[in-house]
Amino acid sequence: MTSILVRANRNFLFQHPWQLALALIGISLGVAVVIAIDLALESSLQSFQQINQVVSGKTSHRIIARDGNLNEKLYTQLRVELGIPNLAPVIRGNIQLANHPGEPFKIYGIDPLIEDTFQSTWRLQTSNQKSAISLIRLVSEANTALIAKVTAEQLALKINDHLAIATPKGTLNLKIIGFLNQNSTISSQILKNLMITDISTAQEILNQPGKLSFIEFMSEGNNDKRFLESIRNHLTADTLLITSENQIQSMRQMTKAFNINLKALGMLSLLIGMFLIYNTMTFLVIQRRRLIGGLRCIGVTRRQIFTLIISEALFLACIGSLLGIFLGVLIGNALLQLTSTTIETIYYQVGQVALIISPEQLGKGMILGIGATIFAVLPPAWEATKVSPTSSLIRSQLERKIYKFTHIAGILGLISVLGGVILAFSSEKSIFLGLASIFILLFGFALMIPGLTVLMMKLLEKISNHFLGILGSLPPRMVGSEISRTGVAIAALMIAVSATIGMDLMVNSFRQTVSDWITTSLRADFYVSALSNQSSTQKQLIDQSVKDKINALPGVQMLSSVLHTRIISESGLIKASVFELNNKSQDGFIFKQKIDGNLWQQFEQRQTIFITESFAYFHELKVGETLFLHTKKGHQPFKIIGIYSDYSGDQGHIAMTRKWYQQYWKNSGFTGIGIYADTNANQQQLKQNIQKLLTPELTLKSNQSIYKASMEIFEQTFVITNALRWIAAGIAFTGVFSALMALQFERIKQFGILRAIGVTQRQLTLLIMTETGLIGLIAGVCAIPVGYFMAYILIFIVYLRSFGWTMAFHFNVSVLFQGLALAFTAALLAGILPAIKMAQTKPAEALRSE
Amino acid sequence: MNLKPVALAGLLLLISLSLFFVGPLLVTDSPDHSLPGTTSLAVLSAVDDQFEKVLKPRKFTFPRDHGAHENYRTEWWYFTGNLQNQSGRKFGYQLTFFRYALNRKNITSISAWRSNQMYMAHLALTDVENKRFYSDEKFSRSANGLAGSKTNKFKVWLHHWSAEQQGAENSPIHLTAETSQFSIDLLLQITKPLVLQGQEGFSQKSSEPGNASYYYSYTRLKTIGTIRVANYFFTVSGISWMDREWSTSSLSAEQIGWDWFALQFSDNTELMYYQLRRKDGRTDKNNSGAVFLADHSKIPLGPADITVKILDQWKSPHSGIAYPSHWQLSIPSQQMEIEIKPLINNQELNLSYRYWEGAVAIRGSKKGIPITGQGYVELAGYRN
Repeated sequence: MTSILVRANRNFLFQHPWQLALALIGISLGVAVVIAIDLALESSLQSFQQINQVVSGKTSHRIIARDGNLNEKLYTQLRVELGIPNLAPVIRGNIQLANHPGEPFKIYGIDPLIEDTFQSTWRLQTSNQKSAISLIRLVSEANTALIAKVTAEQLALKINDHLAIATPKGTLNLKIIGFLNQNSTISSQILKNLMITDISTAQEILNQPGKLSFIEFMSEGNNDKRFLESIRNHLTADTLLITSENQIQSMRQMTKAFNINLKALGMLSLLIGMFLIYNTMTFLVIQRRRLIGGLRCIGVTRRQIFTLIISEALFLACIGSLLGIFLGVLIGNALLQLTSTTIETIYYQVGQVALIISPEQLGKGMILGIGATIFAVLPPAWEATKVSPTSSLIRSQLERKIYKFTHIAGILGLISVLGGVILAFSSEKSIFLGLASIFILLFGFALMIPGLTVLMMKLLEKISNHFLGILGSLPPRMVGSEISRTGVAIAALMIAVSATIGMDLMVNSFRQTVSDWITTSLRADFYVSALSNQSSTQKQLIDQSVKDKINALPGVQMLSSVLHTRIISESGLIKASVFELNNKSQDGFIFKQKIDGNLWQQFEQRQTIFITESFAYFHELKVGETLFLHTKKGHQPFKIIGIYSDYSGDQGHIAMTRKWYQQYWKNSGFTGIGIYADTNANQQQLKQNIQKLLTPELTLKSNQSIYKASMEIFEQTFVITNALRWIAAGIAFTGVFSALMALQFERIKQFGILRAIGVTQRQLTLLIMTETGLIGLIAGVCAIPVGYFMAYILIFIVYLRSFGWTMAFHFNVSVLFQGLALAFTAALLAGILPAIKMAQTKPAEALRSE
Repeated sequence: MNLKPVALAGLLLLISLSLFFVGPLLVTDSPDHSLPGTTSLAVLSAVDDQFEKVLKPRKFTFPRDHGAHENYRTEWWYFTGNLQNQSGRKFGYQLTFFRYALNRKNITSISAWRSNQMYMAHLALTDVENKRFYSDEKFSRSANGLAGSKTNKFKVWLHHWSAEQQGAENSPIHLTAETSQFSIDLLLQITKPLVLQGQEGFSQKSSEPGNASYYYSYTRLKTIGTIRVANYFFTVSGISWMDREWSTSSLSAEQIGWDWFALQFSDNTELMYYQLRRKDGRTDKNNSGAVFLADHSKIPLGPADITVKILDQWKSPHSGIAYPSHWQLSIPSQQMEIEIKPLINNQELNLSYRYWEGAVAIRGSKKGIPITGQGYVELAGYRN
């Protein structure tokens, strides 16, 4: 019996290869996107850890400086005065290859003579000579380096060949004296474009004498507690000891919002993918109702039928998930570059990234794919088993049942929507629950779709019957009467389109808010800022002397300045902006609370700070509270007197005046200088005069060009979001396409009858197109309020919780129209192929087809 | 993860450095000695000629000569001593600082890390009662204050390990070094003046000109201080010995190793003697030493003046190397007949460069009168 069953079904599946293909696409795309995002994000972190393994090996702690530059004397003090063992000094930076400009290359300067406790990868390198010798040569010979074999092969270099790098002083030839050993624990991608040199060579190349990037410490046990204690006691206000775990944790924390938001997009794709699976499996069940009925007639049990359908789904799920994993790795690789760019610009230095694939992640994808498939296939499987042998042969039976189901689904949907709303507002700070509420809302709205469609179609049928006659009332009737098929297609399309609308509205609101903020903030006519130093990980600062010279220029009314730095607080390293403001630049602050007349006076004269909105949100601080900062005069209290808008980063920062900064921290240069021209000054002339004063590392920009550059960065951060959104839309489109195709092909006989009774080809085409167009329209119309809802929750709940930003909701009608148009076009497009095919089918052939 | 390459890399690094300190004897071409690293030594020693050579006696000036002589390739500050606490519990210790010049290039760099002077230090402790031997090592370049020596006073250091004279000339030398397992903190008082070894401090090691070193010692340093084994501290006292030596090359290809004796007798006399072991097994005519009498006078010893008989051997369970472990030494001219035995057999330093350096006890007679003593013996260049 089983073999008959299996054969009957196998034959059936293979007779419908395109249905099979669509189901596979549904599963695999959903799985692929989830896996891709997971891989890309985890890989960024893993890459960071692997680079650490290469450069530092096993470490337990790291000493960092608040401004990124550690004085090398600290290392000597710790080693010689305090006798602390197992310390590793590291300096890192970026270099450019002379012959491959634009390709980022990282240089890490290390000390080859430290203890081998760290077991860093650079110790395990290969060369023509023995390893130890090349390690010694790193020290004894200037301009020697180790690179990975992959890099060497790519650059066609052998041991003892030279690699030309570009330095500010011209081209420098580095001798490759050994290869970094590749092993199973380190991805070869990580080692690519990475160079290890002695610390002296790195300092020379980077032109950073006296500086270290960090010092690693390996604590070997309880005995080392006293070492940690003495390190801590020896640190200044500018240095911080962090545990390696903490570092990874805080990185996870930093990127958590970014991570969850991207994963939510991945889940959205899977959700839409589930619709696709459901759709296909339903189709496959419906198509076989006759076969199933027949099987039941000859004695096959319900249980066997159920098992059959589930195992069939399982088979599809396995293949689909495997395909999805494969595809996910491919997409992940592409995504990785995008995510790492974003992480690098916003969060932390990753260095070289590589796609690092763990079996767990792949297993997760597999489970997700199979789970989603089984979940999606349960309703049609039950449906197939619950009908009696005879009734299963009647298609209308199903539609009648589904029809009843739409009422229940509608009620369930309404409950879900309400639940989603309650969850959204009651889940306090949780980003996860905020996003979950969106999913519940979407699910709820999707459940309401069949009921709504039936209602709308009934209404439309009456109207069109009245005006257009029987043929005119056919499309709405077709949509309504086959709700088991159309309902799902509409719901899937609605979700995709509403996600598009919601996200568009959110991004637009965000863009508008940021644009307003930048416009308000940019008060000066010109800004001088330091270019990011290519060779250093640190931004170079502007000297006081440059500022003085600019100030002395004719036509300069006044200046403002800012220094972006980091300060150590009780909770660790925090970002700080140190300002010198004038009354014009003061207007550039948008405060989140009511301000009184002497706010600025307090800011200038008392030991006070402003904090940004994000900073307040994440550190749960309010105006009037006090923050303790680690200064060269010990821990000092700073009173928070204002909270202001800032969208420049999602960790937030504090702001203080330069006067107070100089009192407690070492005097540094400036990150930027704002220049305010006299009202009657010749701006062009002034610009030229300023330009003359600037060294090549400094740039002069007008406020417009800064505005433009800022907005470009803004757009860049949404690249991934957009990419994922389009993937989701793509899956939805595939879903709609498959549903509509299936629907139309299923009705060959029906169309045959229509043709036979005199409906023309043209009319039939029109009929089909109208039906699919209608489906698109319903989806689009429903998507508008849902998208609006989604945008609202994204802006006021998810983004606030993720980044601590409040933004104004900017309603944009064109977004709604675009969404509507998208839904309509997508559906219409999906209708074209069946329409043409059907129209071309000869009536007699069509009638014969069943 | 396979630890072997890590250990190997560490080993190779040390070998390449230490080969030059404990004896270029390993540079010989004998096949079982082509340790990883040795073949590549040509790379490092190619610049041999650039270093100054020890060709003739020189005038020593102190404290200048306590500091490094960077024009010569290798140099060391070698402290050993026998100590005991009040209840008579015995310990031996060794603290050595090695300097090795990678090349003679002039350095111009903006980086304070750029250096061609490498330092290595060995620390060892013998716990006689528990028959335990501890050893450790450290490396650093002489840059950025991480390691180095001074020329205005006796001071040499590598990270936290140091030997430093407390005040002016002849004031005590303070030794301090610690590892997670053990540490020493000792004050060495100069009780007998500095002696110049060989010919006025010029110590010929093989016939070729330049295969020699400048060599002086403090043969009797009264020592007090503290040592720590695990978490136990011991207040100790005893006698130490210091050797200072620098050279550019010393041994010839014929010479494969050496046995070195630094012995302190109960009658306030000392003996230093090294014998160079040859491939052909013959006695090397450059074997040399001296007896230092209580009145600070010195009696030089040549190979003809002394016979060294090995009475027993000990095979290291770590390396499988068989080392001599019991000697009979006769110096007919002094009417001296002594037996030397290690306090414990296992005093093999299983560091990146392997050698045996251990505390020994002496029993015997001199001019018919029983004599006892203590000292250190170094056995270098032994192999399976």
